[in-house]
Amino acid sequence: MKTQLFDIFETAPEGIDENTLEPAYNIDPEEVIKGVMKKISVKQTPAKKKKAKKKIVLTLIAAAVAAGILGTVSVGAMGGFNEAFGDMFAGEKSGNLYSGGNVSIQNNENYKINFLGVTGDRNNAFAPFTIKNADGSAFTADPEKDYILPLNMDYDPDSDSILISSTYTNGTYDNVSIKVPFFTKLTSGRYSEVDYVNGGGEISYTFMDDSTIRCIPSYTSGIMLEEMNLKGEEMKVEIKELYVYHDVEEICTCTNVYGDENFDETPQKEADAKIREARKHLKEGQVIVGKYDHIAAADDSHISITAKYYLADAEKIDLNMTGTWKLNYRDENSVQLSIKSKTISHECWEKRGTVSYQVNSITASPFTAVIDIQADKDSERIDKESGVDNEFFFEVANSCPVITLKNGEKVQCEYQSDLNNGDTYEETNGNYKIELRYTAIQDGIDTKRLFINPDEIQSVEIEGVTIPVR
Amino acid sequence: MDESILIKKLKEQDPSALEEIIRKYTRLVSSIIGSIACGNLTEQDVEELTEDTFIALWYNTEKAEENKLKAYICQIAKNKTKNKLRDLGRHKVVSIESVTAEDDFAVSDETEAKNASLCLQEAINEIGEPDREIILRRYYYYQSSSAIGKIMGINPQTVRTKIARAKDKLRKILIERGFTL
Repeated sequence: MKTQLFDIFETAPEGIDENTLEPAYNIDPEEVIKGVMKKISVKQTPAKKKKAKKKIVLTLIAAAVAAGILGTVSVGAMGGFNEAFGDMFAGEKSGNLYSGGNVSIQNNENYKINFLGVTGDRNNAFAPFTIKNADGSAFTADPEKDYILPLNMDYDPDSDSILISSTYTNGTYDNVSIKVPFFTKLTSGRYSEVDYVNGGGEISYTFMDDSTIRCIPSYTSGIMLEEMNLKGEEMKVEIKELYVYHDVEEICTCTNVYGDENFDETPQKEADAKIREARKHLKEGQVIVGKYDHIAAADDSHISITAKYYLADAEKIDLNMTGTWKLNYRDENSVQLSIKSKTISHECWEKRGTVSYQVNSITASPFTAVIDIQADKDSERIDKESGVDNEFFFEVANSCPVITLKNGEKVQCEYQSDLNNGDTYEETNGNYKIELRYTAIQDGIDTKRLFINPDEIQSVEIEGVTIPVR
Repeated sequence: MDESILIKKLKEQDPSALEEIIRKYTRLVSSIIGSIACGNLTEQDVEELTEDTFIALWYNTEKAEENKLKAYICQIAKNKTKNKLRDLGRHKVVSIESVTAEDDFAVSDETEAKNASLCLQEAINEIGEPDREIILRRYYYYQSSSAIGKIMGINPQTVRTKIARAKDKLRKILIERGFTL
């Protein structure tokens, strides 16, 4: 991740007459004051919130291996139970899978946090996790004096998040939640992160090779999904927010048995309906969270998952921490698609005219389509405004592919390309390879179908061209 | 109210301090939001982002320091706007003008960023006027070349040329001082 130097100026520049800056719509300060005061009067201040009546044992939302559960659960089809769960649950027959893990939290002014590792986690995805302080110094937890807490794992189907719980028993906050990414399916080598808190902030992930994917929550939907390729076994994680939950009110409970041929989706659907209804009445600062318990059969034939859903007030605490996350994941599971050559024109960014390219092939995998194209070199534009030559921008946000699955189901997707970032395309002798990341969406914001197994894909329709699986 | 008192009251969660800050900085904040947005946000969006900026300040007063309050507010406004634009970018075309400044003066090393930023501030003061003002207007306040040209009475094309040359100068200075852009 790059840091824009102008954005971290500690003092504002002198000598610029700010009255010469163009006012935007002549925003009235008094109207702003009214709006701000209304909003901050709804939210309690942190000091008041600590006195809230109810609290739940909460949550260090973390990630990685856990997400393997999520992706599969969200798909609903549990035929691949052994494949998806086998490695994760082997040796863990009941209770909390990661109950042997440790989390260390030292609550000082920097909110130092260290994942010391998760015993009993065969994939060892959480270890080591170290946090660098804002000044760049590293924090090393001392098990003798830092708070070593039991780790619990919850699944929040509403947000498709894994919550890794711990109880923080000393310091200012006794219930904490840290949002970090989870991985929807490790076998795909991809992850997905959902920001389920209304108006949440920003989480950034930086790979060791400096390529950067930023995860930006949606302000319009309150939910965000982002995905990327995992290019290395180790990545830096920057955590920007921490949440403390108060005033918890139970919405519903639902138990599903997965891995059974006669899998019944009814309980989950009923719970989903209640959650959707609750979501409609969310107030400022409120979130829906879930707690999750599972019991795996001794022969790994099935797993019973009980989820309790709660409405809670979320107190947001801004963090600015970076850490290094070491991951285990398997090879990418992708499928080759073929496409007949076709020239497609897209609108370029404003003031840039159009650019034409010919699609040669598409490689599709969960969440991502990599498209090899032959660009019309004459279409390249020089960015005169910024003085940067040979930039290759175009907009594909309106090109929503439709994926048709082998069972006939169609899934509308939404491109998430950000092609003005250099890491989303490669150029070799005029040939461009562009990665178009997309999200499967339903009903605008519903993310029930977060994960698509490439093997299930019958065809992909992009720009009116149906691309069959080869 | 003196800024130090204002910040003290703000940290004590005194709403009157926030009100005074809003009155003082609404124009600046909405100008920055508008400049970054380049017409991609509605009046309601700009007003909401302006409110969000001050709400974020209210809940994050620990970073508010004397002589640094304005810069901190500007930074919040910029971040909020960029987040919003990126979000909108998934659904509709957003002008490239709003992101052109992203990587011109950016570093990968987070620990280096703060020192590089301080060095950049010094370097800007060394390049002289009008380049200094042009660079600050373009990259700190996100004004377009046309707007800068209009305010400073310079042809927009000349503004762009000056920006390119000033950038080269600044880059050289930073590289000479050991930073990597």
